[in-house]
Amino acid sequence: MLTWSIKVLNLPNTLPPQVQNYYDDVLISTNHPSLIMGIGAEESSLKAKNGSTFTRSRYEKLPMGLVPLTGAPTNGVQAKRIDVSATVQYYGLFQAVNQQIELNNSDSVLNSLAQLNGLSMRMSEDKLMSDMLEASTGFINCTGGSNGDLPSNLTESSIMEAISALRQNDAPMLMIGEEGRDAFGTAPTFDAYVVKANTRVIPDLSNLTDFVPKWNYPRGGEGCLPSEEGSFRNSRWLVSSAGTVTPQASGMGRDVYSNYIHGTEAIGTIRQDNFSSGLRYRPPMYSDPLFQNYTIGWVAALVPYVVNELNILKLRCTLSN
Amino acid sequence: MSVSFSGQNSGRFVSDGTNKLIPIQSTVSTVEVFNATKATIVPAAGDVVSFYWQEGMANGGGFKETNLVTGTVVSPIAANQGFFLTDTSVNNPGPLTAITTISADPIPLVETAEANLPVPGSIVRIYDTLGALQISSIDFTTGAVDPDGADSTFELVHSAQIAAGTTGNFAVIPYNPMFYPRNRYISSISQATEAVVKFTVQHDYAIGQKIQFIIPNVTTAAFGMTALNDVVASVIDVDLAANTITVDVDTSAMTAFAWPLTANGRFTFAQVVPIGGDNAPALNSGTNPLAYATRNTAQKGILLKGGVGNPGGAANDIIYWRVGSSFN
Repeated sequence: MLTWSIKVLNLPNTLPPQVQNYYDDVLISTNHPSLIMGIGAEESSLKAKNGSTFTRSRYEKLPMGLVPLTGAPTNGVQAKRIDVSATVQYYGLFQAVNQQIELNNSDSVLNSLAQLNGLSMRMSEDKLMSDMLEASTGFINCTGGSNGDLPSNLTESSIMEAISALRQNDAPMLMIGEEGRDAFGTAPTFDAYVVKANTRVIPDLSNLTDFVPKWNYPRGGEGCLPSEEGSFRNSRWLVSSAGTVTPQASGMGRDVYSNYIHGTEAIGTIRQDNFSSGLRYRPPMYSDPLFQNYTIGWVAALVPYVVNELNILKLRCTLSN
Repeated sequence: MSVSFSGQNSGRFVSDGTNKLIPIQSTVSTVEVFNATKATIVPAAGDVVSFYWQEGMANGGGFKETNLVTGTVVSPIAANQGFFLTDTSVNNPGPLTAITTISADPIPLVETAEANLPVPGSIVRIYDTLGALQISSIDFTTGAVDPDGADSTFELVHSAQIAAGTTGNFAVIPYNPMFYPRNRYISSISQATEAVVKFTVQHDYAIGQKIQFIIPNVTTAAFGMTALNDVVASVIDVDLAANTITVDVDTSAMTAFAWPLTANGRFTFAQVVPIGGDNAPALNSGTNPLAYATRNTAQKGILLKGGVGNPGGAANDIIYWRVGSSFN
């Protein structure tokens, strides 16, 4: 009977592999928030070579003529106009990439950076709109909630107060209602204003009586945005992890969530004509004599603004727990 | 996959004795400041001539070169008296700081530990002060420190007079919101043919600006002036020192504006919302009608602490600065 005697065995700790890691070329997706702040915004262009400030105007209602005329001359009335102006500003960022790598690289770096820059640009636009609304819009605090804070957690009465205030301003609604259908568990939806909220209010929103999740809409949520959570009376709620939250802003020092409720002609974005936002790629031949680096980034020229303050309101709330 | 970049910016300014923000978009790696006013042929002992900060040093710190009788000495800048990396788009409140009392004076005095007194002109947010719950979560601009000589008080210089409160907290809010124009909470409204409106935080409205009032009905007495709710008005005069605006609305026949009491529970604050502009009064007063255009006021850069012996210099000091940026 033959036996084998191995006196020398090559193992990884004596003869390690020359490359110890394998990087798969299929990347995992980069999570990103729903970009909801620009939904329903009016887009305008600032014409090139016309300065940096864009102005739109609206006339105020004339007074009513309620007293019968007697034939004698009457005084004329003054027409009044409101001018809404916004100044376009430039935004952007870039990455610089060198030709050398440490070990190995399987994915297409330039393609990945191009996608990330596009995402960064859209997220920046979304955040700028959110920050502008936080600074400039009038608000109502939720009150009467169970947590005793100011503002309190979401309540039906506070949401209806906001809806009532917009309707008192004659703010036109953004979304058309759907008739009920003969299907179990479904309910009709009202003509509605859109509400842009943070995902953290979902539990309190879902606990409201008369809240209808979008899966219970007459068409089962067909045609709805992925970010839509549901509806409550004349409001349809879009949620995003990037929804506005102001740290340490309540009476008890908690975070305050701003829910922007608006109709048509409420918010807008102005972009610079002849300068559309986009990616900027500079090949290695422009970096240095030895072509060692390339840069890729994004740039945009825009400004978000409130078109008509009467058509938008901020409903501030905290969470119930 | 790293790459190296470097560059420099430089400039000059005449100090007004207050903090100076040098806007720099890119990363700030090094800062050098030279006080030309103090660099005289016959230097005075104790004058600080130059300052230096580099990435890795403490925020608010750095090094300084001070004249002595026998030469110069290089020493660390005292904590929070030097260079600060600044990004005004990041506006997180400071730590909660305990309040001992809020007085019932016409200008309320907030009592706290001496080490926590905010710099005059800061914005502070008040939290749940017993006996003064009606000002919870409201921002105020602070006034003088220790006006009563107590070494532990600061003014809520634009606040309405309230009943005294005890035990609460406040936090410093570093900056105004990024975007202009900003809505503001109302502190008081006069009863006059052209109403004068005061705000809790320093306003930045301009003549010709159009605003809308939101005056909630909290109780039969507060906020009062319910006839002013939803009214649109034009700003016809501005007083930044008093933190007021004058509007073209006759409030003389309206009920008096009054703040709710601590017992009135939770409510929405009386506020002014900017809604646009009226070019006619702006042009008549020589105000730029584009002054109230919506714009982003956020800045990044390096803040030089102002004052004698600090990088920002004393009033009228001529300051030269150089900022270097490098990364790889």
